[in-house]
Amino acid sequence: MIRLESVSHDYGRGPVLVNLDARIATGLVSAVCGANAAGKTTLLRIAAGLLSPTSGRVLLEDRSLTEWSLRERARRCGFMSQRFECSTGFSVRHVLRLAGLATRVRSAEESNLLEALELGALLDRSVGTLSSGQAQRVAFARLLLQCPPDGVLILDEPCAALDPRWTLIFGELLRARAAAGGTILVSIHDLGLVGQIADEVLLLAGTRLAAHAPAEEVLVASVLSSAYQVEFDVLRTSSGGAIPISVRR
Amino acid sequence: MTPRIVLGFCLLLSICVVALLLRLMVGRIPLESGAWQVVLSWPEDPIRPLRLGAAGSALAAGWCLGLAGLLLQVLLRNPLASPWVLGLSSGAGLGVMIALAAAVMVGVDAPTGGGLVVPAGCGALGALAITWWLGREGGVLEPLRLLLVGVIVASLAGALSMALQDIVPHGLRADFIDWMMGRIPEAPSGGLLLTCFVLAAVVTVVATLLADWIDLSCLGSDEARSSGLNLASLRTGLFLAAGALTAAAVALVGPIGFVGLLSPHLARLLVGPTHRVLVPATCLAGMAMLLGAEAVRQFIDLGGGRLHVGVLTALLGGPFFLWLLCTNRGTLR
Repeated sequence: MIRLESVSHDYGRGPVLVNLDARIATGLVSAVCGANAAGKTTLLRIAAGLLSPTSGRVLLEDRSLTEWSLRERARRCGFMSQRFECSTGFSVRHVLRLAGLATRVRSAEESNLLEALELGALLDRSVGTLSSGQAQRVAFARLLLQCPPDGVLILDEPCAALDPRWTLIFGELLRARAAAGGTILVSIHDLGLVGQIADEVLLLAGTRLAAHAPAEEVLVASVLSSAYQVEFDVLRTSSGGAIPISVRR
Repeated sequence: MTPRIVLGFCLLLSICVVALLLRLMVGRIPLESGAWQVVLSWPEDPIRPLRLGAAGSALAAGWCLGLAGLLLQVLLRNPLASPWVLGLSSGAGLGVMIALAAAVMVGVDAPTGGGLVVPAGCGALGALAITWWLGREGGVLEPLRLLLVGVIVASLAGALSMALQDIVPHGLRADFIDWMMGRIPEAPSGGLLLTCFVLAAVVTVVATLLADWIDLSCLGSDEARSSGLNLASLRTGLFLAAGALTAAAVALVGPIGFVGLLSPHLARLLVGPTHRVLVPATCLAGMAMLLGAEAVRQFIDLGGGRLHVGVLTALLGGPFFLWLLCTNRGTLR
């Protein structure tokens, strides 16, 4: 569980986040949404302890993030950025091996994960030769191997480079982690995907948290329209999910 | 350890041994016509200590430069990084030039040969301190900022050296240019040689022990930090180690290019990119390259004496790097 208390941040060009309070509950997929430059990445990096807020504090499992040592924190909480980077030509196998560096534990679910993400055939490929989507699968596998099933996963636009099939698989794996007692905080631009996988939504608008509520309460035209400054139609799926579509009127 | 890695280490070690034997055995004897003849023979006193001194200097400097190049390529996340991008060689050159100019102005004998070691070392460390001070952002070394500051420091130090050349007489100017092309001393300072070996050995052991964390630092900054890596401390350590290695090497042999840039690439080609094997392999590659160049240059005389070792490393290293670039497109990382 993560708790943000009166978190504000300013890069020196005006505030990005102001007085934000939120509790990211265990067992749920919490999606962070908002227009471009709404502060989504800033919020995620603060929650992961990668950026110190200008004011306020973040608690991980009821302890301030500053009280956790780096390795202790790495055993409970992992972060995946929007674009996988590697400045040298490591093999996929080596990148995945590095996931267990802080924990010194080889995850029992490694073989299942390799199968689910179809990485077996890529293990000896250099990460520099992978497509963006393949690289995201490697980054996702690395994150899942680093954190225990009941750990905290923080992901910044993990599905940005993925095709529909892999988007669905990522979503299913995140839901499985939440069901296993994990805490998931993920920023997603695709509101249709949010409707499919998120239990709750944190909607950022104008440096503040415009809404923090169950997905079905946030994914409605009136709430989304004021946050994104565009009109929405919301389609309802047969399974009860919501697919907001932006429209110009 | 895979067969490829074993083969790579054997190859590098073999090159080192052959280059060492060649450097110890190759010599030149004067002919009556005034020309020189190259001969291969096991050296006797008083020649032996001189050849051992040259071989030891080349080994130590090659080790330091290769290792420094690798650490900087990790730190700056750039395969083109080399010990010279931090402005250390230009700083060392400025230190030498200041010492020469100061001697002329005060009216004392200008330092030559081994006497240039101290000003070169001071100049390199001065450039290191400035680059360190200005290369940080929010107290943390930032690769891009560091790279830019290094380039500017190098340009400024180079310009100041050129300006100071007008103060010193022609003879000293020639000595300065001679030093700038790099020279392997046949009678190096024992203390400096020992410093280079000890420093390189310590950094090699520490870097090999921390190899997995160095690997982790090659991922994105956020991923590396969220995986438990103290990135700020690692970057500081890499910077200081690379700076000290370069300063020691420059003080010993002057500014010799391409060894620091190419050794990591040669080693990567032979043993792969993981630092547990890449660190020791790069040390061997650095030694093999500089010792090899020092041995080969004994055979080349264009009329003005043996070719400068720095000229040879550039002449051989440039095309080799271009070949690497063309044949390993997309994987030269």
